[in-house]
Formats: sequence, structure tokens, C-alpha cells
Amino acid sequence: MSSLPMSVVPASQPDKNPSLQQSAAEARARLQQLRATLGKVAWQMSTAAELPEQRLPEMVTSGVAELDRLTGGLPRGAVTEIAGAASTGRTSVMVACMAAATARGEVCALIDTSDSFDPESAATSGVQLDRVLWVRCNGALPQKQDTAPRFTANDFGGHDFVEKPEKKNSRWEQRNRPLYARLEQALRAADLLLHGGGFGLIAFDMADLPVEVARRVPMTTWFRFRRAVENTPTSLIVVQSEGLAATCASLAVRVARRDIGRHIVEAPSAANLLRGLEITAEIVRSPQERSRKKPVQRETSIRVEHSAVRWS
Amino acid sequence: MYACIFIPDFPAGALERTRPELRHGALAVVEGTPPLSYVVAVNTHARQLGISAGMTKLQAETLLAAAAPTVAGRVVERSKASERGAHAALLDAAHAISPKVEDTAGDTVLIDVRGLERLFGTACQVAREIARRVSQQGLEANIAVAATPDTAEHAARGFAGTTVLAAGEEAQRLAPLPLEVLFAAEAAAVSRGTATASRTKDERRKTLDRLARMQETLDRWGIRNFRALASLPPVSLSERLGRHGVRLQQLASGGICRELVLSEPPLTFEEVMELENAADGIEPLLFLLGHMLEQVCTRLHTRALCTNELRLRFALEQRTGDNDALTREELEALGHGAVVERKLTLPVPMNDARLFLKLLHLQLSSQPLGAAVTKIRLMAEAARPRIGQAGLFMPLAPEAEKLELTLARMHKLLSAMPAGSDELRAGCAELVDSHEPGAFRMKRFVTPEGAAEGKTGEQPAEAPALALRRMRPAAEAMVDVRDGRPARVWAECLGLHAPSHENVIWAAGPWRTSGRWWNRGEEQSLDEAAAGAGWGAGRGVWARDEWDVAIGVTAQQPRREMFDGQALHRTGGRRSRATHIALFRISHDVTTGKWQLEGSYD
Repeated sequence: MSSLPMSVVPASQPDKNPSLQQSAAEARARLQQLRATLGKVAWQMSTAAELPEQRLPEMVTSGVAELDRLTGGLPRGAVTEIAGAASTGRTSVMVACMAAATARGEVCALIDTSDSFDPESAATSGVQLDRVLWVRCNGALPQKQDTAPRFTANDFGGHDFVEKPEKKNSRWEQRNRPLYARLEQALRAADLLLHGGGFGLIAFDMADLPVEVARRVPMTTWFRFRRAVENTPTSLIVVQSEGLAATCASLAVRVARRDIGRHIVEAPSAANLLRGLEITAEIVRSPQERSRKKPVQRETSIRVEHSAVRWS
Repeated sequence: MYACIFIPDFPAGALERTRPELRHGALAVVEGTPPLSYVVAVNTHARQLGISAGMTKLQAETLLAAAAPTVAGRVVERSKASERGAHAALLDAAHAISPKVEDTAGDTVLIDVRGLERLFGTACQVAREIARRVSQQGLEANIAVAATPDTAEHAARGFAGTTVLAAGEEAQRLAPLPLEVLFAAEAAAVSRGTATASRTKDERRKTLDRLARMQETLDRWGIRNFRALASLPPVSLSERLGRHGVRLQQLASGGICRELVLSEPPLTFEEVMELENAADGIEPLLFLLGHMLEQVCTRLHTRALCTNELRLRFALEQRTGDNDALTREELEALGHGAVVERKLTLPVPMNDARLFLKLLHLQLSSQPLGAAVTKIRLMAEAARPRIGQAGLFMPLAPEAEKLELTLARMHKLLSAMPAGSDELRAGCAELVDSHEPGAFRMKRFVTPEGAAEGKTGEQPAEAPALALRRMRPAAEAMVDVRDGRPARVWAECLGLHAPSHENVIWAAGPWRTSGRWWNRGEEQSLDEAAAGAGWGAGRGVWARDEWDVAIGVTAQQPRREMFDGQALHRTGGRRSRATHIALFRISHDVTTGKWQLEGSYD
């Protein structure tokens, strides 16, 4: 035993300082006594030394080289949030992630809140459609027509997915009733897929939902999604207009158009051509930051090409 | 060595297998039209109460009523369907032991167990293994192993439990058995047609009559067990009863060895349950279905098979004065007949009763039967189990069973669709061979084979491609055209109100596409089409010009809900407006002249 280095000597070995040894033994004895008193809930108590080491998640390629260089890829077993306004390339990034996942031979799922996925352009991006489970939400949840939408009752674990709106029967609520129904359906579908398991990537597309509607998703839902996806090899990507998952997202990226004029080539007459977009991706939150390895670069430029140009 | 499986009181055993709750009380199975209903089989509890085969239904009910406070008793009609299922299960259990099986009678199966010593061990171990397999099928059987098939059958019919007769001591062991066992075995063989001398129906009838006369004769002589018959002088017996009497004597002494008439049972896995009281509601129905699924899965497991399709046929209750029951007309109006069929198609062969029950639960809850059920028929299509080799470095893919359950739940979640929409909402998109924009079809999602084999497809391109977000259905748009190009675009349905100035910053196009023009009538000219309803109206003809436009949403415009998330954003608690540009694909229908917002680039 004396030949062992100090780092591998067990803590139970006699210490040179007898007072420290005594206090540690007393602390352990108190902890044991407390655990015995508490009984079943004792597992919730642990000392700092007993806490599991939080490791960096496994990263896989996102299918966008610039994004990989910036973030290190997509984390498995974590939530990734891509936020941005319309026409800023957020859907293109999501589709690129799906293309990379299907190219790895994995099976993906897309929860399409607004039923706006275009298989043709996705196939052009390299997505193998036979590996993508496309869930097209229609918002046709059974509910009473004469009352405001209620989101408290559900049979999927007894959790409330969406907070009940404060004002009942307001015009705004009546107008957005279909959107609420779609959102509730999408959240339930996400829950089913996460608990079903086996998907390499689950894309949750909420991009077309107004921010006011998306904000109705309570934080508990995002925490639950984070909890469901961790310790699994699944990457959960959430695409929306505004970053709403907060700390539940291990990786949060905000995308924006870099230059409006550059993506358009003014050609003579009717030969104008949309060549694509030039967007910027900015890191809002990254797992590398959490591990005190802050990325040097926080923003990168990505060129999104129009598939029609590629065909020509 | 030969083994025999015999189910005593087979009609009662078959009913107990279908309805396990009957095991706990006295059961008398009756047959015949009232008032001429007679008991044909009883279980152990009923036998202890003094009920026996041959009693009238009234006698059995009287005895059951007398014992009612202590023993629960039931008088149940004989069910041929249950007996067919039990017989098929019996054959499955026998074929799991050896392929050399003779289907001797409905309640009797003979197995050639020669050469199974290395697989199962001694004759006792073989008998125990057979008993275990039969018990798995929900049947209580007598098992006997002997050197000859007939001896094994007689021992199984005569001795309860498991019996092993050593070679040479057959006559000694069979000696105390009553002659009813011998004649019952012969009658069963004749009725089944396995007896060589009885090919036609008339011959069978004559043989049965002759057996009855012989039994009566022997009874008059005072010959009532195997020992007495075996000890008779053969020549004198031959002079009085002929060669058939000598044969019976040889059977009684265990001296005849014959070859089995081998049978190969068909690959049909079917269970039928006839209900005395109609099952109303999904919970009782699932309870019954769970038991039937267990039986079918056990049979499939016995034969090392799986299923990829389950078919269910429900006989629904007709109106009998009960307001809750539906008439045939009402059922037909609901799209149902008196018999409703449901089918559960599985992407891969499976054999998991719990999974099947969950899938059926989801299907039945989303598509209710509409009336109480009086009879259930469950049929499973046999399939070879899939053979897959898992690997540490295989790509990630959902398990087929879990995926099927997830998809079933997803379909239930998405099943509340608008009227007229029968589109699959959760599945796999497949591009169709068409130039029509947005053309695709949905198909059922199954785990791709390539995922299990680790096959990978084409690598995605370096730069991401611009994705299109389609509007389904396409939104009607108002477009002002200047110099042949869109200058102002607005769509009230999306909150894009009419701008006071040109809001199209840039436009690319047009790209004209058309399809199904070959469906256009030959007599219709271009001018007529332009003047009339359009080219080939109603024939799917389409022709359109597509434009890619960048629309600037100015601060004066009201905020759009769907596409203008950037137009408004909070800054320090106060709302500020910013000009935003969104890229749209719009189309101009040449045939109708309408403009539509196809989608947005994102």
C-alpha cells in the first residue's frame, strides 16, 4: 500500500491529522443517522463527493461545417435550441441536422407544429425521407367549442403542458385557439417520441408559432423534456422564433440574416435568381461554456444555398 | 416408446381453457336442445358434488343449487369452437416435443418419443416435459408413456396424472382398468377415422354398433376389466366374438404395436370465445382479448413462430328490447354490420401479447365497435420470427415493438382529424414522380433496414440548402403586377394587409410549370380555355408561374402572426418595431388567374 500514490489511497486510510479524521468520521456517522431517520427519501441526500461528475455531452456533427466549428456539433442527450426570425435560415439549419443524422444511419423524427415541412426541399438537402418520422400536427384535439381552450387536463403523465391563458374567451384567444391546439398536440407528440426512444434526432419545429403562443409553454415542460432526453443518445432540437427554453437548452444558437442584399443577384430582366441566404449563427449558451471552456469564437457566418441554384 | 396425451372431460377442459374463471367452481357442460339437455362433461368440483355425464341439465342444476352456499357452480353450453381451439393447442404442444404426432381424437394425441432421450432424458423426464408444455397451453391432461401406442392411450385414459409403463409389465399395469377405457379408446379411434377398417360413415356406424354389442356381451359374461379380458382363452373368445374379440384381448394385454398415422397440423392460429353475456364497453372486452392473445401467443411460441397480422372478428349484439343495443340497420348506418372486423398489421413479426393488447386498445378506443360483443374470433397469421444481430456500433434506431406502440399512440393523438381528412398524419413522406409542386404521399413509417445493418446513405452537402416552409393549404394572396413583376403583395388571411406602397423589394421569376395538360380536351383551344373556366377544368390540369419575392414589412404595417417574428421584439420592456424582410414563394395560377402564397424560405 505504501507504494501507491496519494491520489489512489482510499479515504479510510489513517490520516496524519487525527482531528480531521475524527471530524470526517463524525460527519459520516451523522449522515448515516440522518438517512436512517428519513428512510425512503434518504436517497435524495448526498454529499458533494458523492455527486456524479457532470461530463460534457457527446457531440455529433450538425451537418453545417461552420456551426460545427463554432459549437463543436450537436450535443446528444440534450436540448438544442435554434432561435431566429422568419427567413433567417433556422429551418435550413434544422434540415441540415436531419440530413447529417440520416446520413449517419440514424432515425429522426420531426414534430411539425404548423405542418409546413417540405419533403422535396428536404430531400434536396440530403435528408433520407424514409428515415424521418414526420408528425404533422393538425390541432384537432377534442375540445368544447363554446369555451376557452383548457390545457390543464391530460392523460400523459398528469402534467400541464400549456398554462391556461389568463383571460378567458378573449378575442385573441379565440383567434389563436387552433395554434394552442397544435402546440398541445406537438408537446404530447414530443413526449411520446422522447419516451419511445431510439431516435437519433428529434426536431421540434415551433418556428411558425407566434411568440405569445410559444411563451405559454411552461418551464416545467422544458425541464421535463431535458430530463427525458438526458442519458439517451437522442438530440432534441427546438426551432422557434425566440429562445424560450432558457437553461434547459444545453446549446442555444441564435440565427440572423447577415446581409439582405447579398443573397440576391440582380440579373437582367426575368433572370433574377435567389441564390440563397447568408446568415450568422451566434452562440447564446453552450455546454463548453458550462465546463469553463469558453469557445473563442461566438459567432460565425453560414451560407445557405438555394437548391434550385444547385440544380442549375 | 410412445406417449399419449389425454384430456379427461375434454369439453369442460376446453371451456376452462377459454374462460379460466370456470376452474374455481363446479362446471357442468351440457349439450342438446332443452328440455333434452344432457351433461356431457364435468370438472373435478362438479364430480365431487355427484354430477356426472349423462345427467339431465335439471339434475345438474339441482345438485349445484344444493351446494350453492359453499361451491359456486355453473352449467354451460358445450362450445365446439373452444374445443377446436383446445385441440389445436394440444397438437401444438405435441409438435413441440416431436414431429411424429398422431391426431388420434379430439382429446387424445399420440407422440412417438423414440430417440428423444438425448434431448429430454428418460421416459419420466419426457413425460414431465410433455405435461409442462400441455400445462402452458392451459390444459390439464393425463400423460402416459408406454412401449406401444395403444397401451399408452389406455394408460392415459385410465390413470390420472403422469404414468410411465415399463416394457413387459403392460398387462400387469393395465389389469385393473375397466373395460370402458378400452371401448372408449376404440370408439374414439373409429369416430376420428384413424381406425383402418372404418373408412366411410356407414362403416363407422357399423363398427360402433359392433363395439357396443361386444361390450354388452362381455358385461353379461362378467368381464369388466382388462385382467378378466386378457385371461380369457383366445380360441374360445375367437369362436364367440370373432377376430375383433381377439384383437380387443390383445389390446387389453398390451400386445399390439402399430404405426402412428402421422399428422401435420395446419398453420392456423385461431381462438374463438362465445360469450353468455354480451361484453359492453372496452374494459371487459380488453380483459377477454388479453386472455385470447395470451393463448395465441403461447401457441405461436410453442411452434417457434411469430405473427405479423392479427385479425379480429366481433359479433355484435342485436336489439333485444334493450335501448343500448343497436339494430342491424343502425349498425349498418354506422358502417358496421352484425359482424365487425378489425385488423392489426405489424411491420415486423412479433409475439408479445401485452404489446398486441395495447395496440388493440388504442385501435378500439379510436374506432369503437358501437355495440356490445357476443362472440370474438381472433386469428393470427403465422410468420417466421425476424432474425437480427445487434451490434455495439450500429446506428441508432427505435425498437420495432416500441416504435409500433409509439406510432399507435401517435395515431390516436392525431386521429381527431377534421371531417373529410383521411390523410396519414404521422408517417414517412415519399416523393412522387411528378413536377407538381409540393407533391408527396405519406406512407407508414417502419424502421429502415439500413439502420439495422449500419448502412449509411449519401453524405449531406457542405453548405446547407435553403429550406422551404410550405403553407398547407396555400394562402390566397393579392398581388399588384407592374412591368410584368409583382410589386405589391398582401394576404389578409395571414395578416399581411394592403401596403400603401410597393413592398416587394426584389422578385425572381417567373418559372412556368404545368402538368396534366395531356388531360385537356382536344376540342378545347387555348382561347376557349382563357375565356372559360380554364384548361381542362376538373381534370387536374395545372399551369402556374412561380416567383421568389422578398417582401419588406414596414413599421406602419400591422404585425403578422406567422412569419414576422422579428418585426416586433421587446426592448427594455417597451415594444419597438423594426423593418423585416421575409422571402416568399408566390405562384400565379395561369388557368384561374389567382395568386397564392406557397410558402416562405427559411
